[in-house]
Formats: sequence, structure tokens, C-alpha cells
Amino acid sequence: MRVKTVVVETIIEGFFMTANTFGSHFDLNLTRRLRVYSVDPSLASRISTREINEITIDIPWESYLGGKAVSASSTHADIEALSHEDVKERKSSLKPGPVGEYVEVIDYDPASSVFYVPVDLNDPRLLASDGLAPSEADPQFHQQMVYAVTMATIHRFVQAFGRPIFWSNHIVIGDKYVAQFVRRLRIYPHALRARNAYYSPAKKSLLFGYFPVTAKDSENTPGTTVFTCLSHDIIAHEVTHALLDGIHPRFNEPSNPDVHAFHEAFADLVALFQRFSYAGILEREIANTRGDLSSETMLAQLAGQFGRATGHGSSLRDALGQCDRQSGQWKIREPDPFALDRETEPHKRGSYLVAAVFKAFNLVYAERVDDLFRISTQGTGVLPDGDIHPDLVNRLAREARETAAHILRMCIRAIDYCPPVDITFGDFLRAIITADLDINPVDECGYRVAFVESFRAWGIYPHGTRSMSIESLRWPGFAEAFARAKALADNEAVHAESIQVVGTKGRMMAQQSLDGFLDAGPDGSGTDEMLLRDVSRTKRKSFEALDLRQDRFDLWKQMKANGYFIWRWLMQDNEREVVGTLGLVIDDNKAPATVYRNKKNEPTIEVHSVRPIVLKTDEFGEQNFLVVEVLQRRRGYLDPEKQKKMDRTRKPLSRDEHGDFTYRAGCTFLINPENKEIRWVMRTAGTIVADSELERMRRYLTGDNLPNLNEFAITSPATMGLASTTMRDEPFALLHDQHEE
Amino acid sequence: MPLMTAPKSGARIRMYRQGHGDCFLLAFPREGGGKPVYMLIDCGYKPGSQITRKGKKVDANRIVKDIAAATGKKIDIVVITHEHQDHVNALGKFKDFEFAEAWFAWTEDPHDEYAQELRKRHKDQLLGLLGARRALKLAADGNAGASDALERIDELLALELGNDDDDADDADNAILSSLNIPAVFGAASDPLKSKNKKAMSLIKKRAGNRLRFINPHEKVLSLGEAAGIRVFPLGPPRNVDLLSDEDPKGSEGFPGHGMATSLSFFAAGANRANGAAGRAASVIAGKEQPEAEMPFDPTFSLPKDTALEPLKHDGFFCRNYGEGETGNPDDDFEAPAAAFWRRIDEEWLYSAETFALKLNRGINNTSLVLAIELTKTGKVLLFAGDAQLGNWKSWDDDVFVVDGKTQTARDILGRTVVYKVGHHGSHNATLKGRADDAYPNLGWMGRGSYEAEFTAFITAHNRWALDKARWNHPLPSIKKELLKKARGRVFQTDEDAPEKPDNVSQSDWDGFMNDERVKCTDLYFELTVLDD
Repeated sequence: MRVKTVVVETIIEGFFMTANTFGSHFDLNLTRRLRVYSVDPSLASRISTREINEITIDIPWESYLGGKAVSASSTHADIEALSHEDVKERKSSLKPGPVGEYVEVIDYDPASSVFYVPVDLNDPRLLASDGLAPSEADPQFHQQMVYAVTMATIHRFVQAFGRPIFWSNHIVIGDKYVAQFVRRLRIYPHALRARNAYYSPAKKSLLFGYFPVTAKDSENTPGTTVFTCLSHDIIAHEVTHALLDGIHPRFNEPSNPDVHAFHEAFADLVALFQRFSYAGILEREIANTRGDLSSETMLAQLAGQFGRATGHGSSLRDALGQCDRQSGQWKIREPDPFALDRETEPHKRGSYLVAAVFKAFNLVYAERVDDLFRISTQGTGVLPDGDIHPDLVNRLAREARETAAHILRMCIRAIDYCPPVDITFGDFLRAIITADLDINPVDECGYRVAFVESFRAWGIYPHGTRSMSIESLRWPGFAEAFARAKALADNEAVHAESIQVVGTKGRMMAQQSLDGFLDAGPDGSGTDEMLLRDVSRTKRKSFEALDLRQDRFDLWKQMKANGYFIWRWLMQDNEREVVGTLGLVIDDNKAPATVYRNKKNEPTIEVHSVRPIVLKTDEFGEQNFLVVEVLQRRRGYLDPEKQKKMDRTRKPLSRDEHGDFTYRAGCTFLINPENKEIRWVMRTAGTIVADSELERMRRYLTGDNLPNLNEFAITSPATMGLASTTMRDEPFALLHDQHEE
Repeated sequence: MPLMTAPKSGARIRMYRQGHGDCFLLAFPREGGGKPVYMLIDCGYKPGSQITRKGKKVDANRIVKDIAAATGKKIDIVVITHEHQDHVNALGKFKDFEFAEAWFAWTEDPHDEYAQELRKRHKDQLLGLLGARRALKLAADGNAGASDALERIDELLALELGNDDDDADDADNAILSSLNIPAVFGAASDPLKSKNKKAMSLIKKRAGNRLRFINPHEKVLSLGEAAGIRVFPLGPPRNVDLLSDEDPKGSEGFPGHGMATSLSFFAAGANRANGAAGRAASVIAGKEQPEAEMPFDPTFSLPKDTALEPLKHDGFFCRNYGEGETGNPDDDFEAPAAAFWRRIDEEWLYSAETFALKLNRGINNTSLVLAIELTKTGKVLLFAGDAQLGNWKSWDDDVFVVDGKTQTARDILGRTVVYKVGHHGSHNATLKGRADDAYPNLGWMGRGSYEAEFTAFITAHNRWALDKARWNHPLPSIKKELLKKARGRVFQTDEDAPEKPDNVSQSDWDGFMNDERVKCTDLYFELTVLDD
């Protein structure tokens, strides 16, 4: 079998390839090309993009190179079938389904009570022709398409982060708290007979629906079935939900109006900007709009398509622009700093975040193509009538693609720089700025400035910052955070000096304590049973450096075990410097009774995740850091009086007493395992003892503080199904259904 | 118990407290004196939602008895706003009443073509939903999520079909008996024989076929022989475009064509899932075999049961999907491929709830909306049934001309002093807004001098709605807004009397709550609105 070796430029031009890009399961020099629909075929007749309805995208070639080829689900036959030659020759590890390292497509159609035959993408005929030809009638093509778009999206994340990605764990809460590793995201391309598609965190699956279209429908082709699994935008959107869930599982717990909106917006952003990266799509639009990407036709079409495809209606389109009353033309919308004040519905709210990022994109793109226009118009700035020169089209398209790729990467990397829960749009802005500072210190094209300007125009401000300058937007370093925390505790004002002096001292003390700690072993005094079990099972004595090329399950276990050491270090922080700076409370006498405690009656902290990240800290290269997320939790009650009462109880509360809701607070921080420096401190708005934050969450849940709307909105979680204990735990299905109103 | 009297000029309104549902009796002075003119607007309740007072349930029988005594069993006008269980299921108890006239929305008109199409669609959709419900019932055994969904779907189906207390406990029987068919599982069903339909036809018969089917904005109506009363019908809208509306957001309108097709496609799956019984049912109902509704050619399809056999297709499906209980519940393991919690056998059925909700909302939007005006002072009593967004927005579609003067919806709402809160105070059945907004909303109501008298009626049993049906009725923010606007004058089924708010003086409150104006009993609240 001839292996196709084509050195193709990756689908992401201008991507920053770090030295530590890991291809343990992706062969760096091979790509697999697969054909997909660029526009949902049922929309094709209406939108005049018939010529480029089909595109071919490049996705990673999955092979055994460097990694363990077997896993819990491998059969004897699998293992025996592997020979030395297989591993040497970069034989594809992709199985029929397709079933790969990250995803598995299982084509079960319960509403029709049938399965569909899985496609084998390694069939030589398919390798020769870039996969099956696009076809609505062949379910195998549907399998191919979901696999292709999903892998393209995953690849983007792997490259942006520079590490393998993980899906969220399967949690079972019984006598003990069990977390299982989920290797593959499952995709069911024909799961529902409904106008819906969603990511199920409970099943770690993407479910796509299909529904019929009638003759009276002016938008769609009559007599057809619409398959949501044939829409690139929907697939990219849904898999992004899964990817985000894998990094921040608590981002689907609504504690403020931005949380669900953020999930939706982030998924939209990835899908939208990913679309820009495909060759051919932008060229056409740029030719049509003569290079003006903010022109009505292009944007309106894109957003409209997007909305129709994803079933989100016109919320994105409305956020980006509106129909001018007089002329009837659709025009790009001027940013409205008060728009967010008025809107709580997640899709609509999320649309404003997308609009803000899109504006940032436009600002940079306009900058970048300014000289091209000058050159091509000889300085007059006026393009000749008719079509613009094809060379110019190509150059403009390239600029747009690179800008889009860069922006997308900034947004993806920012995910590592978010607080562990209670995300707000303002937090995300801080994350974008800080993440970019770490990888792109000299911002030649002014991306950061574009973001700040755009977010400010849309009224997105982080809480607790005084201004929208880059310096005040970036998250504080440890020294600064330490000095502030100390000043707050001592009731003193914070000066630049004190940051310098006090902060440095604090930082040094922290480094010392971590130093001593990371090399020591467990003494068994920790009482978090789960972490203790992990460590004893692996017989690990101390913190271990992570080998990113090993099998992902082994890596997962290693990361989990490392979490234990961080946890122990924090619990043993005698002077409470680190803990205080990170906004954690571990003293029994400083926390109300409602804060969850361990058997020793100390308020517990949960080390949520310990992941590797690569930063460029100086001109001598990159350094490996760890992203650590730490959380605490507290019982919340909807009745403020009951809350006060429970807060003040003397006796420890039983583990089974859960209150009406759970208030969480904590911190994400970056730490350098070599010199033990804590680089950034990203705290939630309040600590676990902050009554005001708990109050704010309570008011949000009961719908008490909804802004002026034109409907009494149902989007507060309380109204979506008050305290229903056995209600189906499908937050994304609900969100998407809800939107049909 | 004496007859209910009417004030010399104005109206007396009784809101009955039979449970989570509407029942209003109004008394107006008659032209030329004599017995008052009585108007009954709806009579229904959600089974099990009755309140209990002094150890006795306040049930429909007691209510009907009270109405009988209050009116001498002769009612001038009976109004049915729309065909939902909680508005009609007690009407069967009015067998020996006389109705001089019965008012319905144009959607009930047997001679109206558009109305006929809507009704046919509704029936088809209901059949489809019943099929899905059967399939979900099969899947519900031992599955908490499915049982939960089934309960909620049943509540919604009950609204459409109309079961009452006699059908209470067993959900299966309730659904089936409300369709008036024996409790044989999987038997064919005919929604035309539902209890709701029977209640409606009873009323039509008792009215001796003096029936009026009302179009909005067509003309201003008079209320029989009632003195000094005009009625402005504001809804439901006659919007032909709604039938072909395919906007994915536009489900506020009537049951649309697109939805019907989606629903039958969905139902075909349900029938298939039900096996032989289901297919028989669909044949009886006049639907073709579901083969036509498969998304792909049969050559691509592998029947589920054989595909799961270990030797078929290299064991791919057996290995990756599996059957039965698999999966190691231990920590630190890799989740197995065929784990049971990854299966999706009944996920698709949950869409039934969305369809049911859409169906419900569609019918809610066919509510007859009447603004009853006391002509001297212009005060308006607004009875909006369960009208939701689409219906509300249409109130402004046209104007009325009275004595040469134009009356807009804004004018009429501005003079509203009594508001029967839509759909138990749920979201979207009362629109929030300000007086200067461009669409009809709460902010338009009771302005200027009329503000002082603004009062609201909420027909909801809040605790029952939250606990049993998982509905947030009334929505707290709506209740809060109403309390603010009405300065505490809000009546709710499960609250014995309005409470004086802190910012209202005792003398003002006493002025409102005095015996002449307000009466609160276990069975009803009575409010008098004077036309001077």
C-alpha cells in the first residue's frame, strides 16, 4: 500500500510552531486530505456559493509513531497485528468508523433502529481520491465529514496549546468519587430526528440530528432531509464545546450570565475563524466585496449562513449588523457599549463577544492590507471599477487568513489563562492579553491593542480593573498579587514600592517552600482520599516531569498524580503566603461552616488540573510551565436567612448536605517547575468566604437581577427547571432547544 | 347562597380558585334593569392542583355549585379562550346550565378554511406525539431521565387532551381515557374524541348553537344586554403567513407547516420503535408505512439487532456500542469502549418534549383576547387567556373606530384597570416593557389616572406548579413587577388575600380592601369595578 506523502502546507498559515509541538499521534510530515462540504448542501441552492460548495481539508495523519499503539480497548488481535514494520513505516492507526486516537464515529440511528456501515478511510481508493465524494445520500460520507472537521478543529487546539488535549473525565459519584479517563470523543452523526445538534458532557459524545424539509420552505431545497452533521459550522461548534469542557469542565455551571454565553461564543468563534482558514473560501468573498471584509454582503452572508446552519437564527447576524431602515440594506453594526447590559439570553449575549473579537480581527486586517491598497491604487486609495486584480485578491486573502489564524490562536491559548470557574467576558479579555504577552512579547501588528479597543467599544470590562490599558488588563504576577493580598489583609494601601519589596519577599518565600516540597515525598497525612489513592497506586514519590509523547492515558495518570503534590504543598503552607495570595482559605476559623471541609475539618481545596504549557519568557527560547487550577466550594442557599444560619452553625455540616446550589471560588496559576516561580495569578472575583459574591450568584440563579428586557426572560437557571433532581443533565441540549423561542 | 349581584354601573368580577387554571364569572348591570348579565370566561384546572382550605379541597364541583347558585344556572355569555385542559375541563359539569350565547376565537369556526387547516394540523401533530410518548414509555423503565421527561410530556399532552380528576393517578390511563378509548396499550387513538373536545361540544350544544366566532379588530362587540359595556377583541391574529413560517426562531406562531412535517418524521421513528402495535396504530390513523421516512436507502442500513451480534461486521458495533451493563466503575481506569453510559437509545425521544411545548405554545397563541370596556369612564378589563408573544404583538395590528374616534391598542391598554395575567404568570405570556415601547406590553397598561386602580389576577397554584409540573408559575420577576405596578393589588389562587405592601399607607389599603370593593372567600375572590 502506497502511503501518500505529500508535504502540504498546514491548514493554518503563519502558525507559531513551538519547538515542543507534539506529534506523538500526529505524524508531522504527513497529512490526510478529505473532501467535505463547505456549505450545508441544503442551503446551497439559496446561497450563491455553489462553485465552492465542496472543499478539501487537511487533517493530521494518525500513526503509531512515538506513542503506544494499544489502549484499554485494543484487542489481542490489534496488539498481535502490530509489527516492527508497522511502527517504523508510519502505518496509519486510524481504524474503520473512523476510529482514531481522539475521536470515534459510531453511526447508530436509534430513531430508525439501524446502524450504518463504518467507513474505512485507509481503503486505497479513498486515499487516492481524498476520501469519498461529497454525498448527502451516503452515510459513509457523513462519517468522513464529521471525522474530518472534528480532527481539523482538534489539531488546531493541539497546535495552539503545544500539548495533547484531553476530554473531560467521566465522573461517577457514589460511595467514592471516581474519575475515569475518556480517550475518545464519540460522534453519532445521525442520533436524533430533530433540528438540533449538541455535545453531551454526560456521554462524552456529539449528537447530530436530521430533519425533513417541506415544499413550502423557502429557505431550503424541497424534498430533502437536512443533516446537521453535514454542516461544517455545526460540527466545529459542537466539538469546541467538547474541547472547552475538557479543559474547564466547570464552565458549564452557570454562575453568572456570561458562563453559558461564553461557551456558545467561544464555539462560534472557533467555527467562524476556522472557516476563514480554508483556501478558496476567502478568495471568493474578497473578490466579491473588493477586499472589504466588513462590507455588508460578505459579513451578512457569512453570519446569516452561520446562523442558519447552526440553528441559532439571526443572533450572530444581528450582533454583527442590522438592516438599515431606509435603504433596506444590511450594514455592519457600530459597537454598542450598552448592548450587554440589556441581554441575558446566552446566544444573544455570546454574539456580542463574537462581534467584539470580529471587530478586533477587522482592525488588524485593515492595518495589514493598508499598504496593499496603497500599492494597487498608486496611492489614490480608489480601486478601479469592476473586479480587482486576482493577485491582489490572493494577497488580501492571505492576509485575512493569517490574521484569522493568529486571532484564533490567541483565543485558544487564552483558555489556559482563565480563572477556573465563573468565567466572564472581562476575564477572557485579560486572559487573551496575558496569554499573548507570554508568546508574542513584541506585538508588531497590534493585535493586543485591537482587542482592547474592540472590547472597550462593546462595553466589555473586567471586574476589578481600573483602566483598559495593557498593563492593568494583564493578570497580576505573584509578587503583585502577594503585595495586594497582604495590603488588603493589613488594611494598607498598595504602593509600587510595596509590590517591589513585599512582593519579592513573598515570591521568594513561596519559591522556597515549593522547592522543598516538590522534591519531598508524601507523608500520608493528606486526607484527600482520591489523590492519595492515585499516588500510592503509582508508587510515585514526588513530582514528575511530564513526557508528552507517551500514551495519553499514562500522561493523564501522571498529571493527576502531580496534582496531589500541588495539593499537599498548598495545604502545608504554614505562613499562608501562597494560599492567601491565591485567594484560598484553609483555616478552619476563617471559613464559615458552609465551606466544604475534609475529615480534619480543614476547608478543602481541589486541585483541578495540572497541565503543561510552553512560554517564551526571554529571547533564549521557551520554558515549560504548568497551569494549575485550584478550587474551593461552599454550600449556597436560595434563602438568605437560611444561608446566614447555616454559615454560623457550630457543628460541622454533613457531607450529604449540599445546600440549594454550590458556590465555587479559586484560582488558576502558572508555575515554573524548574525555578518554582509562580508567574501569573488568575483569581475568581471573590474568595470562598466572599459573601457578596455568593449573594451575587444567588441573585443570578433566582432571576432577581435580570436587566430590562422585552420579555420576562426564562434564561435564569432557576426558571429553566427549578431544582429538579432527576432532570436530564444535558446543559447544551437545553441551551440549543431553548433558543427556538 | 344568593345570586351574584352587579353594581349599578360597572362590573363585578369573580376569580374562582379551583386550582391551577382559569374560571371567571362577571356580572354586569342589565339594560333596563333586572337580573344582571352574567359572563363566564373559561372553567378548567390541572388535576391535582386544587388548594385545600379548612380541611376540604376547593374542587371544581364546589365551584360549579357556587356558580349555579350565583347565576341561577342561566349564563348570558360563555367565553372559551382556547382549548386547553386548564381552561375547559370543568365545563362538562355545566350540563344543566343554559347559555344564551357562546363566544370562541375564529380558530374554532367550522366554516373557516384556515381554521380547519390549523385544526387538522393540530390533530396530526398530537397523534405523532402520542406515538413518541409510547416509545418513550418503553424506554423509561429504570431510566430516571426518561421517566422524568415522560412526566413532563404527559403534563403537556394532558393540556391538549383534557383529562380531569377522574383520570388522575395512572398517567397511561389518564392519557388514554382522556381520549375516550379503552386502556389497551398501543390502541389507536382519535384526538377528536378527547375530553377537551367533548367539553367544547357540550358548551356549543348548550348554547343552542348561538355561537359567535370572533376575529380581532373586525368590530366592537356588545355584551348581550349589558349596560354601558363594549368589548374590543384584540386577538388571536389572523396571520396567514404563520402557516408557511419556517424561520428557525419563529415558533411563537401557530403550529407551522414545517413543524408538522418534522413531527410526523419524528413520529414515524416512534412508531417504528413501538414495533407491530405502533405500525398498526399508524395504519389506522391513516399514515403510510414508515419505510418511506427512512433517511437513507435500505442498502446502507444494518438492522440494529443483528448488527450488534459479536461476529457481524468484525464485531465493530458489538465492541463499540454493546448491550447490557458494561463498564468498570473503578477509579483511574480508562472508560471502556462499550460503556453503557455512552449509549443514545432514547436520547432522540426527548425531542418529543420540545415538540409538545411548541404545540402547547401554538395553541396558547390562539387565545381569544377580550378587552371589556366600561364606557363611561373608559376603564378596561383585559382578559388575555394564555396569549403569548406572537399574539400580544398583533394587538397593535389594527385600530377600532368608535363613535368616529380611533381607538388603538395603546389607548385601550392604557385604560386597563384589571389584567387577567396570561398563562398563570409564565414568562412570555406577559411582555415586559415601558410605556413608550413600540409593542404591546405591561408598561402600556393602566396609565395616568387609571394607574391607581390597576389590579391583577394570577390563576396559579405556585407550589403545585413548581413541585409537580416543574413550571415556574408565576415567574418571580413577573410577580414582582405586577406587585409593584398594582401596589400590592394582586390576587393569586393559592394566596388567601393580597398583602399590604410596605410602601402603601394603611388607609389606602383599607380603602381598597373594604367589603364593598373586595371580597375574599375560600372559593373565590370578588372585585368590584365602578363605572364612575
